[in-house]
Amino acid sequence: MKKDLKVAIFLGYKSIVNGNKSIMVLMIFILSLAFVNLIFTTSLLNGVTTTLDNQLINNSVANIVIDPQEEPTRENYIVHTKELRQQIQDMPGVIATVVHYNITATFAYDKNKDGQFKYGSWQVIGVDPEEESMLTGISNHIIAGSYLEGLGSGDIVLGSDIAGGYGAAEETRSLGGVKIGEKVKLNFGNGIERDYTVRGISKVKFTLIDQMSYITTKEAKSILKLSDDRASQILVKINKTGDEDQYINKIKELAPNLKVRKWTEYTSMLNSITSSFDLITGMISAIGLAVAATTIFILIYVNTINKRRQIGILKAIGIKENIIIISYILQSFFYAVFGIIFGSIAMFCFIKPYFISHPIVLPIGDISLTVKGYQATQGVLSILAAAFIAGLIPAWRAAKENILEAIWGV
Amino acid sequence: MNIDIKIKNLKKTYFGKVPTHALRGISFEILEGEFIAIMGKSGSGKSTLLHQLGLLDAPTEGELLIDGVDVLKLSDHEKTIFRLQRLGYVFQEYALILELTALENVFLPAFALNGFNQSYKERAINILDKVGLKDRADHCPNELSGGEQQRVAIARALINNPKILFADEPTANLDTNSSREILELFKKLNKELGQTIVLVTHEPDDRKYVDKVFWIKDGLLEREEKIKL
Repeated sequence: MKKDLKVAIFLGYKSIVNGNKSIMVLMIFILSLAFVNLIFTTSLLNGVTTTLDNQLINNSVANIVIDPQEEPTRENYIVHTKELRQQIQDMPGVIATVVHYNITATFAYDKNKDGQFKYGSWQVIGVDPEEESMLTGISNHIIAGSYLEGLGSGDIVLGSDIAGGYGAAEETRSLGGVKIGEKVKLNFGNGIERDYTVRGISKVKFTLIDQMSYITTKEAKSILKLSDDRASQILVKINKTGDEDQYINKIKELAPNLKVRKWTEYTSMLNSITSSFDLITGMISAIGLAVAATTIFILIYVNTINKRRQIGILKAIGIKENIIIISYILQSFFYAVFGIIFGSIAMFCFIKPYFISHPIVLPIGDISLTVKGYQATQGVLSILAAAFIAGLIPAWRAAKENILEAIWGV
Repeated sequence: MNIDIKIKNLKKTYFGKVPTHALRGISFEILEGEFIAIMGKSGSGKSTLLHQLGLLDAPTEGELLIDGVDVLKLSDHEKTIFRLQRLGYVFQEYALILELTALENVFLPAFALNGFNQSYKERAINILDKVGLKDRADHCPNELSGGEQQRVAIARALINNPKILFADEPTANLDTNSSREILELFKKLNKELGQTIVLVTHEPDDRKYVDKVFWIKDGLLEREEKIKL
């Protein structure tokens, strides 16, 4: 067997080294393209879902969202949040917890100071600025002015899609260009109306988040007339995304009446987008795989079939079939391996860096390519498997063929 | 003298739309060390006969013993090994591996039989020297003339010291001088090494190189002609 393998390697090596260089370059080039095609589309779609995930985790709801009781009666607030947060923060792996106060308000802005107000209804979130910066990244996405500070009231940070003038997805629905230091009037659902000075504009490039505004906890509590530690929501950030379920179970043990959800379940629309994209990614992956495998198969098949005469001659002079078959499989692997190498170089040295510096701008954020290890491995293995089959079948058929028919090309 | 090849009532039919009876029952014996020519008109069945003897094709009926082995009972794999160990075959169209140099073409059967060994490489060079191509050892087939390619093919057929050498119209594509050189080379191998050679040819002049001629006509042995030197 070892001797046969040596002969097969010798024949394969000579065929590659002394064979038609143009065909070799073309084969490797096409296999590179097949590999890039396989990885590119899935990594682009992965980029969409990754951006979506990151936006939600880093700039909105962290990993776990705790909402007030819904059954048997619906409550507006979570009670004893201080104690509950402490218990959650004591769990190993929990990075931080924060409380949010969610209020809907109607915004009014008199741009030209002529009594002509522009109105819009958006969500206001009451946050503790110091604690919030440990959990969400809004404070890092202030594009004008500054973020909230301390417990002071009277200031508000507007999302760029509320303020307007910062390239909002729905610019016409915005307030039309609020500047830092200007006043906006907020009319809350409970009848309270207050003026706020715009302290900062935030923009994370995700419409859902850029349509939110932020005031301090103290201000929110005064609007909601809360004097204790009740809150609308508790958000929990953990150090390993993916481990949410085990924490959710522990939190449910601590507070069985509360609604505890993973970030993926929090926004059903986004969850459905992510699920749809995952499905599309899977389908495109499968199609890409089939196309790549078929391309490789046809290329190598045609190349091998063109060597029927050589295979016939080898058999005629007494070279065993398994040697011939192995030599063609090795040649297929050579093309596949170099196709993967050059495809990887193109992907990781040129295409991916290009998309990092020139991301695709979508209303959910900047989309770059996300290559998942298992998908890249799947791509590599698929190409190798296709190359194996593409080398095996035609070589096996030609090697089994009548020697004279193979030589004469009948 | 030992019998190298014994065939009895060998038949070959190609089953197309209309069955073609290429060989219709041929019987003869070839002794060890004989230089045999199989001759006949085009379409007489002489090449078909050689293909059966060289185990490149399987007869429809009959018996075939080569070097005492009933080769028709061998599996394809066993036939391949038998060819490698005991037979050498020279094709009309040279049939060299285009990606290999002359030396590698010659060396390949020895490599396949015994594994890599420097002595086989030296032997391949010696054989190339015998066929007058030592200085062309590193050339690929497309850099060699027809006559040179055929000599490489002969060298390849000899590398494993085959018991019998088959040659299917080896001079058909060559000019007169090259043809003469090839046939003289066969004669020399036959005389000096005692090599059994079975040559298919349609050139009546080639008779002067051989010991015996089997004349084939319409798939049958027409006559056996002993050549007196």
